[in-house]
Amino acid sequence: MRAKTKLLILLLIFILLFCGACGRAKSAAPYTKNTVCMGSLLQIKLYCAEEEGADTAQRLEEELHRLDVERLSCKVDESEIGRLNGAGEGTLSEDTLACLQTCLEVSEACGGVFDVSIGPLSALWQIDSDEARLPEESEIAALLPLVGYEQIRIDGARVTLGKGQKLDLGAVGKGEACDLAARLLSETEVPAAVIAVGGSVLLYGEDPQQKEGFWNVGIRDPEGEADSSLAILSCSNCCVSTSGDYEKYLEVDRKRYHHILDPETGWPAESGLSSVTVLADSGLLSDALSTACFLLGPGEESRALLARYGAEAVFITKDKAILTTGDLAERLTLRQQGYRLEDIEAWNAN
Amino acid sequence: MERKLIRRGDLLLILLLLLAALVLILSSRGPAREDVTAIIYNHGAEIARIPLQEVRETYNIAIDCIPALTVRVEPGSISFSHAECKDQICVRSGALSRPGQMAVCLPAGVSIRLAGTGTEDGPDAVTY
Repeated sequence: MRAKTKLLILLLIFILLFCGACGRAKSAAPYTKNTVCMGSLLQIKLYCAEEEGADTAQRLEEELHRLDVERLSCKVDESEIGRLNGAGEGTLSEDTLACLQTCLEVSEACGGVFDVSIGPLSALWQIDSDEARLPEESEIAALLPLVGYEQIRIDGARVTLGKGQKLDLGAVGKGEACDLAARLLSETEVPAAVIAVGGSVLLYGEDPQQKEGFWNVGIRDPEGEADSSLAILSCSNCCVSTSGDYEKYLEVDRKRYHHILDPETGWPAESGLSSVTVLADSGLLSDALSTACFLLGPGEESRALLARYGAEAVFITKDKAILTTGDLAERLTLRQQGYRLEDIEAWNAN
Repeated sequence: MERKLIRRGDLLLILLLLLAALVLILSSRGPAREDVTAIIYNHGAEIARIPLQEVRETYNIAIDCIPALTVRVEPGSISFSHAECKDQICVRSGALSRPGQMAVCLPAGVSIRLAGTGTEDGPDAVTY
């Protein structure tokens, strides 16, 4: 064999070896950290070097804790929302004000089914605590007039609540945390990350371990164990949130009362759904829209709301039908038997 | 005298190098190994790392936290076996044995995550 041919063959082999080495490098393990933040499990997965990962994770944890206790939590009297609730009026920081304004916009767009002025009712039920109890109908009726996003007035950075109103941003706090995490990550060299604040998930960048770059997000099986997914959704560069009737609830006389309250009735929402998962550009939107869509159901109102914000959704009905908008059906892989994928148009027509 | 295009020695060398390349490629893309390590975190700080395949006998670990927790370590699996709290969510999570699985006690701020040595077969995150 001529020397030139030998050289060519050796070169080809080295290219193959190089490709193999690249494949190995791509599957390098990410830096991971699990902790508890905002009353939920905070899962941090960063695709970067160990030292950078540790520093970034530490900063994320600190900033998300501050977001909770200094800005959004209505259970902390000294937070911005806590002070506003206490005084009935006050000045908010730029970021908190922007968050509130987006919430109010969504409230208006969905006809008020999502409403952060639900505070007096959520405080009455306290479903997310050991103090949870089934209220009397009269107690609920007495508080219903206090719920209404239209009563909130904003003048510059100054916010004035209606008489007796209390804000509860619990429905969007974790989504806002995802957005804050995305902003912090954009200031680092970390190219790809997954941040899960409870069930609100930030998919930052593209999965370096997958050829197509899609991350795999499990959608919790409403009837399964905490770690069981009924389907896997492939997506990247987005936020995913779910509102479901199985995560937080109060059980009285074998009846479950879940935590998603209908601002119109004051009782847990009844829309024939077990859960709604929303995929959006921001966590605040995916959180707010998943709550709104859970109350609206899978009909035209939800779809118009999602379209307005460029979001998509997966609806799981009580009778185990899976309904999707946009192209999500193609990006969904079923994991559990018993559920069936149905056409949302046909389902709504029946 | 007629010269051969490829000599036997050349052929052997090429085959050996191709074999080496193949082994390297397959090892980087092959399925995950089954070795599973349980990592226990207390408020984000790693407090224990247990290779479950090396566990031969069942034992318990008492976690110093409020509410008090006990973790049971068994050959190939790990679980919260006791929690001095009302909801018992972490105990009901059951035994974890596959990479990517997780259980958490929110009141105590303690979580257990199972990591594999290869690519984890579970999703990157679960929305709920």
